[in-house]
Amino acid sequence: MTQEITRLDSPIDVMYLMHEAFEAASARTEALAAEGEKGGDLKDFEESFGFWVKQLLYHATTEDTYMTDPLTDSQPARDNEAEHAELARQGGELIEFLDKGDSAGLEENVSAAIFALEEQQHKELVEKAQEVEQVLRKMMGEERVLTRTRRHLYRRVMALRVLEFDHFENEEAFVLPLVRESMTEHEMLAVAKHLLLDEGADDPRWIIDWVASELQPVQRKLLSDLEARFSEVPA
Amino acid sequence: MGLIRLREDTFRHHLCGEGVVAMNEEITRLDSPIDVMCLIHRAMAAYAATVEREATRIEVRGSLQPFRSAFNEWASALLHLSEVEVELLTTSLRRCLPGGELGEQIERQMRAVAPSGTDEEGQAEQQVMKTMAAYSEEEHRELVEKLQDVLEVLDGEIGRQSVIDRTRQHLYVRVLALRVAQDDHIENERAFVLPLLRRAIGEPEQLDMARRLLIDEGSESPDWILQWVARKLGPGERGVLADLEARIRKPPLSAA
Repeated sequence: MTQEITRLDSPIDVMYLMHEAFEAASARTEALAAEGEKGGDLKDFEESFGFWVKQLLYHATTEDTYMTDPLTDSQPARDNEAEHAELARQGGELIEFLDKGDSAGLEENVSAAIFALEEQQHKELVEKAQEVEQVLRKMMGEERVLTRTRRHLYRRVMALRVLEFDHFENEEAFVLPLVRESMTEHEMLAVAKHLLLDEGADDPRWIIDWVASELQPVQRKLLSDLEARFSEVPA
Repeated sequence: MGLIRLREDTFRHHLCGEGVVAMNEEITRLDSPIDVMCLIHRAMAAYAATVEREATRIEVRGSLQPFRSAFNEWASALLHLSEVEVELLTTSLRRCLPGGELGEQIERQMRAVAPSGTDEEGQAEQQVMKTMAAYSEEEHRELVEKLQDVLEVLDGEIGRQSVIDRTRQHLYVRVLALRVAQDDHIENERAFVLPLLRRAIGEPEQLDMARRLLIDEGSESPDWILQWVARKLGPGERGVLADLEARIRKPPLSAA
């Protein structure tokens, strides 16, 4: 994944370029999460993260539909889909975590603490979880509550990043060779077109333009040369 | 994969005694012997930062040795301290909680010092403090579990000549998870466990707890934890630790 791509031997090799783009987006998001541990607002992080996850979810869903679904009797293809599901799950959990605001990190502790109690006390407190959280905020102080949330946020972002990395490595090692073997040139071109152009969106180019923006000039040329071939794919 | 960033001066404040001590603020005295936990916490956080830094410095096709050494230094003490804390603190905490021999006494003390507010608010705070204190044992389990997660990756590398990118990433994210769990634990211990213990346990017993935390009688080098803590303290704090050491080594007065 870290080798510089200077040509695409098959249309599906555009995947290497896409993975590079994802790596750039997730690295940026990680850096912003790391900054966030020091305090301050998360506006830039939320924007970067939102865009990264949106791209990732579209990419995963499209791969499932057009790339791996046709690969029947293939364990690597099924594993690939399972990894997509896990990425979606962790991404979704991160979104929920963010939605809970500054005390999200505290809420995890509260739930875990209540869960750890013996049954009687557990029953009494589970209904009062919010009350418990309010008291904790007061006892710990807002600053420490925020710090806790921010470090949990950073940890979650890193975990998602590493999961993405593993997935891309696996896909490149085990799935792309199968795709090259079992699909024709035109079939691979069709998959690449679906991955890069979202015909159902207001702006169908929202993916390909973003990928291009993350690439060096040599790779950007490879991408545009590939795009020129999309006309070979029937509508 | 791109560089994993590490912030050299992470934003962390630690509660110690009855006030807040910022990470870069020196601890100049211990209000009670059990406050030695704050010095131990400082050392734990410092070792964690070292390991996290070493994790970012692991090079692809490089050696894991510097990371392993740093991690072993942190992990061995963390394991030992977790075991001792579970044994000491859990027993003492159980005495302070409802139903324990000191439960009622603690309730009275907490009501007496509860911030102004309604009776209901005071009771809620007591309940929460007890919940979080009781959670302490679970936190130790979690720390040990996360420590083992890191070891799992390291053990998988035995026999390999050089590190691969995936290993590097996995080590970092697991070390991060352990560091975050430790930070949470330290915060909770200072906010909820230490205040309860200060109220419940007299000075002689606190000194005994401090001794058992810092001196490993079962080891060939009983002072290894004490030295481990001292290595990460500034000169002033080493003095504070040395003063406590003198007290815990003093033989108890024999009964008349």
